[in-house]
Amino acid sequence: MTDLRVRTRTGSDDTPFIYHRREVGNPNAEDIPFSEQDPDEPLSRRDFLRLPVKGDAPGSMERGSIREDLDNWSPWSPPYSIADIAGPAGARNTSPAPRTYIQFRVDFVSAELLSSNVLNSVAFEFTRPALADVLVAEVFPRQVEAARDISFVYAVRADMARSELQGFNSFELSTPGRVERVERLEILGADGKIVHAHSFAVQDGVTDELTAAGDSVAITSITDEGFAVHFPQIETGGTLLKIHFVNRIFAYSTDFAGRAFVQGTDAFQWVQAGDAAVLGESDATFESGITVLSSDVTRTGLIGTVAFESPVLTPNGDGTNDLLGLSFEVLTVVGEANIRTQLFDLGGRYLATLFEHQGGNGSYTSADFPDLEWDGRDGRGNLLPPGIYLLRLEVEGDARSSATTRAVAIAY
Amino acid sequence: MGKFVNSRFTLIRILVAGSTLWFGAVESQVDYGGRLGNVQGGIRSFEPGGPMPLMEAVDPAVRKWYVPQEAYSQSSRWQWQTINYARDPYQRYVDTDLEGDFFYDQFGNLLTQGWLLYNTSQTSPLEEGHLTFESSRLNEWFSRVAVSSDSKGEYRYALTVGRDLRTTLTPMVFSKPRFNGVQLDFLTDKYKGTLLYSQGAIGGGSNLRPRSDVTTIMGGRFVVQVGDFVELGVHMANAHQSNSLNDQLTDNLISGSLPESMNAQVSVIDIVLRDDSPEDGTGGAAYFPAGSDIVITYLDGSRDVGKDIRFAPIVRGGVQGQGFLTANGDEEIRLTYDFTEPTFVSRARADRSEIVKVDFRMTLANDYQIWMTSDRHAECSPNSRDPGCAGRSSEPVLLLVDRAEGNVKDGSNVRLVEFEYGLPTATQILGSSLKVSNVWGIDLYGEYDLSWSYRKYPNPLAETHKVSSGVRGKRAKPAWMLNLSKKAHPFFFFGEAYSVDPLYNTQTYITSADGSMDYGDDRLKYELVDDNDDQDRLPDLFRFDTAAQGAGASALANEVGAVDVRTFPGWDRNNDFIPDYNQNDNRAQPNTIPDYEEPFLRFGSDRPEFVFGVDMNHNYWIDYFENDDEPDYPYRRDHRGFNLFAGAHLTADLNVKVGALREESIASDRRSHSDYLVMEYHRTSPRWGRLRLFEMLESVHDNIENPLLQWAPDNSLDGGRVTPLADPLMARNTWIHRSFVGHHWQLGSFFMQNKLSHFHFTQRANKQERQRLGLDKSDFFFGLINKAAYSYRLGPLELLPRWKSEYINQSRDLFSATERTTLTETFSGLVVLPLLKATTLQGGIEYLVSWDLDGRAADFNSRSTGLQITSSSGYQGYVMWLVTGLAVERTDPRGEDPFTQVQSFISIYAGLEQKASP
Repeated sequence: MTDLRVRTRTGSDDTPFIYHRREVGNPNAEDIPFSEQDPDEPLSRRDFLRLPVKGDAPGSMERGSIREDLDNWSPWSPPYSIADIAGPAGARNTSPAPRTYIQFRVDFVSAELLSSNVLNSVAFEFTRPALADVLVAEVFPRQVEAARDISFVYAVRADMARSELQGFNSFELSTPGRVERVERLEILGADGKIVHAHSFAVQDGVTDELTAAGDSVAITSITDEGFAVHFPQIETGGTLLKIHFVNRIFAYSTDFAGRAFVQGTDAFQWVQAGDAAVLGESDATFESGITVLSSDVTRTGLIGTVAFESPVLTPNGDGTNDLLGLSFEVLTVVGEANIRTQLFDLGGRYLATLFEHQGGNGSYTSADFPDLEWDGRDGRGNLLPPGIYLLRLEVEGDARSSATTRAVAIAY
Repeated sequence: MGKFVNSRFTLIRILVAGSTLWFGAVESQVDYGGRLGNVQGGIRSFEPGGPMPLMEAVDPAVRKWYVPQEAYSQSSRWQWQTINYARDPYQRYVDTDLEGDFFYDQFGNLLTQGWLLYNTSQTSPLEEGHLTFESSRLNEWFSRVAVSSDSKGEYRYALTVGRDLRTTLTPMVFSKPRFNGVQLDFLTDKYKGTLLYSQGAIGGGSNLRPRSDVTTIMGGRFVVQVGDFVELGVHMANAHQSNSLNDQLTDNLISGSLPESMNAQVSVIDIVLRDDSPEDGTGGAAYFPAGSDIVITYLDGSRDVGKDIRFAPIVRGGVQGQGFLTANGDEEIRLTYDFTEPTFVSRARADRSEIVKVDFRMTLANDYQIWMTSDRHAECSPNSRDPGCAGRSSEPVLLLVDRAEGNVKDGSNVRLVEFEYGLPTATQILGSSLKVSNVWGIDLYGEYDLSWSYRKYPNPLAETHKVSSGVRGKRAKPAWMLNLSKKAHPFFFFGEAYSVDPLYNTQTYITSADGSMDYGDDRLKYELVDDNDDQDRLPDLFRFDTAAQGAGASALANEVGAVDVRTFPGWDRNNDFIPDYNQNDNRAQPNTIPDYEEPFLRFGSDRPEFVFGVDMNHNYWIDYFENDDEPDYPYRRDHRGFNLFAGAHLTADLNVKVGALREESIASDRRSHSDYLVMEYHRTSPRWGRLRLFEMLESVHDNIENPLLQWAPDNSLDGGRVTPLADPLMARNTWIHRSFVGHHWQLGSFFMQNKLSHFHFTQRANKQERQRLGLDKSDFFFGLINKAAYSYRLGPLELLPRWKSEYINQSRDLFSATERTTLTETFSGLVVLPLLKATTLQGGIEYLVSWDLDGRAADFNSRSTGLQITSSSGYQGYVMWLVTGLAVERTDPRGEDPFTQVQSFISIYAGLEQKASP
């Protein structure tokens, strides 16, 4: 088996290294990164190579260390998913962009002596001109309670100093699960005054089929992974886009990644986390970013809200309350935990396993999981007599488990 | 009268002078100065008193006086006389080295005139305040060990000093076959105790070696008898870096000091996060950057929080997840905190030279390992003058800080892990024990220990340094064990429970002579509990404290570099430090051929595949014969569980045991569950010989890896080599059957031995599962050995015909997964003919034929002939053995040309015994 690990890094000058020279024979000499001829200029690779590896004459210069230039270049990115890279859509560049320079590195990792792999080609796609010099984004608040409806504001500041930039008129935001609602969109000029503002009616946010055109403000999509909005073209530096929405958090850490794009084209640009604006009284500049933490999940169980669609089940075929829908939230789990609902009678006797699933954090409803609807029957298909039954929900994680039991009633 | 002239200064001096005069008057009329000592209360003492004028020798003369003033009474002032030896022959000068020196205690009492053998002392604050002196006389006169002891009534003690002390407090805390230091033992009817002290990590030597930085070892155990049946014990062991420039009263003796050259400012700290179970490639360390931070504390107590000053690490590696980075498999996330970067320099409250503490608060999840290092924590410190560092780069060395429990993959263990950066300064173990003997037939031993691995943040400007250990909430790493047994004939019971934290530590770094540390050199570590699986006089791992023995080390230690290059645990049952499989190997005539491969010797020696015992960790290797590179704790690190068995003696010869083992790896989700049934039968009959039967049946689920380093005999120059062996994990869902039959019978001159060894692993997993795990349906070893020999006399001749048959059928052996079925028949005969009184002629012939029953490819036969004359005679107190002879061996492999080897030899051995005993 041979594994390929592809990484990238981006920079704003032509070398990701800083070359140093050092005084010969001085054990306390520090590495000097500047040119000997012009102390204001960095030592170039060419001048570095002209220096001896180990000098002989005390007081002269020899080669010093070579270090990464992390001021002008990013560190190597995490390896890209080979499945994504090899797929038709490719993988999203995770190094900072836009940048003038990009390097890529491929590591071949072989577990067996005789196994090998071949890299035939590497292709990059990029947008030119860029939509903005940089899109700085942040979300607020960044410390929230889990499994609660939270009103967030997401701000994107467009830095556009260069003239050849495209600008953008749409924005797509990734959310943990389906957003509850998108409430409002604002566009503020560089002077802080509102240029456009639009509050979405509730019905705006419940359809995925809205389309937008021209200067209209609209929600263009809402899915389980995020939503997108359209707005008048932003093409002035310092413009601030603010989106107000309500969402729930289920994990300890949630990233709200976003990208701007131009409606009807393939051009897009990812945001960078940073300090876009002051979004609230406790919005500390140094904490700005697009990550929301919910620290309470480290202290609470793995189960959030548990709810039934109706208080009682009447499985008599009259079309009313013939099925009992269960919904619940799983917290914290980022991989796959064992989620199970079981039915017991009041004597504690097992009757049926209604739902068994390997899943992570998020909201579980009967709309997505039909097994969460109970028709009043036990595991052998027999309709149960009227009475009170116990429904036990259990989430079994690797490190800890949570369980809760609720009473459900059957009446005819 | 003159003394009264000097007494005018103070009243005290008057009293002292007066009393001196009084005592002097009582003692003698002649003043001999201090030569006869002082007598007080009838006791004569020789404390130093300084020079004292003899008034009799004080004359107002100009002539210079060159003889001792005490000589005035004998020779007056006639010092110019010619020395004439005519009547009184000259007496040579006596070598003062033969007389020794005068030694006084700290109160001025003369101890003795003699020789200093050993001295160790610490003086602080003082440059080069550590001193350890070992006289060459300690080595030459006392074989490196000196004992001082005393007793009175029930009280007794012994102070033992030396380099090669076999010392144990408890096997979990301190155990070394070659402790270099001081051991003080005391014992009463009710109490007993042991104290240990050493600067022995520096090696010692016959010269004074003052140093500022040493690694000091301290330890002790105190046991009290409570009632008739209970013993309570407390113990501690500590190894810490001592810097004599520090004031020991303010610097913590327990947590140690930073060596002088390591106490320099830190510029860069790296935190590395890795997957704790890389083999599964998933669910590795999950790092949440938004929930993590760094807190920096300065000399004046002020603090900077990383996020407040936007000082974030440079992040390398990892795969982006939803709000976190993850490192799976062999990937790692490296967080570099650079205190020289502009972000820190421009926003921090103070310069990095004023940093006294760096706390990391990291939110992590899943199966993580946390490692850390800095530009100070390197293989060789940049300013090291240690010759061992010459030409070596100063690569940072990672220090393991913490590991996640289990193998969590779903983030359900997300937590804040807080720890501090520091350089290792000490290792401390503190524990207690309880022993109960024969209470209602129950014996119990329990021990609980805690291990701290102390670190300190280096800063030359700070008087004291912040100390830390482990992570917050888990500063100490625990290890405990409990053994309980009960006998109620015919029934018996044994239970053991144990847990040893994966980071339980009994190891520390040692400082070099110049006070620098080489964190990358394993030899520069000190083991409080040595790895000595073969339980001989040499530890198995190469460590400086046992390697640097100097000229006084034993010949064996010097020869093998004071480290055990031949680790053959359990393969030396006669305790002669030679593997029983190559008994005719020695330093003068190295023999690299295992005895079971040598002509004539192979009759008595059987292959290691025929060793037999239990294998409770199911790694296909008998536990008693296991070797590893871990300290010799009673239980392995990272293991916890229990094992219980109960049994009954059904007859005097037969017993059965039923038991269960439940064990798990703490840092992973691996487990070992087994239920077993054991039957043992021992019967010795004058008529039928000795019969031994052992049967063990186990049902096992075991996926815990127990890798080994095993001595594999071979024909190389070293006679074998330590071979790393991975645990094949053959018992993941398996029936294991293990049996042994041994029969030994001797009737007059007839001897017979039979040996059957069989173990069989039967997999219960289905075919797909077995293919996934790379397992066969079954693995087995079956070996059968039959031997017979008969000796009889024919006139002057002694004849010894012998036969040995070896059958092996295996799917794998101990060292490799090699299938084979072989049958080897060996016929040999020896003839002994006495020629003279102590001279014999011996001849031997052997024919060996081996069949490869699988494919005939390895068939071969061998014919060996030997002839020798042996004689013994006395010479200068020794018994001289002369052996001269000829050996011819012809090997004929199937399909290859035969090969003949001829050897002639004349050898003389000098021994002390008439008949050499094996």
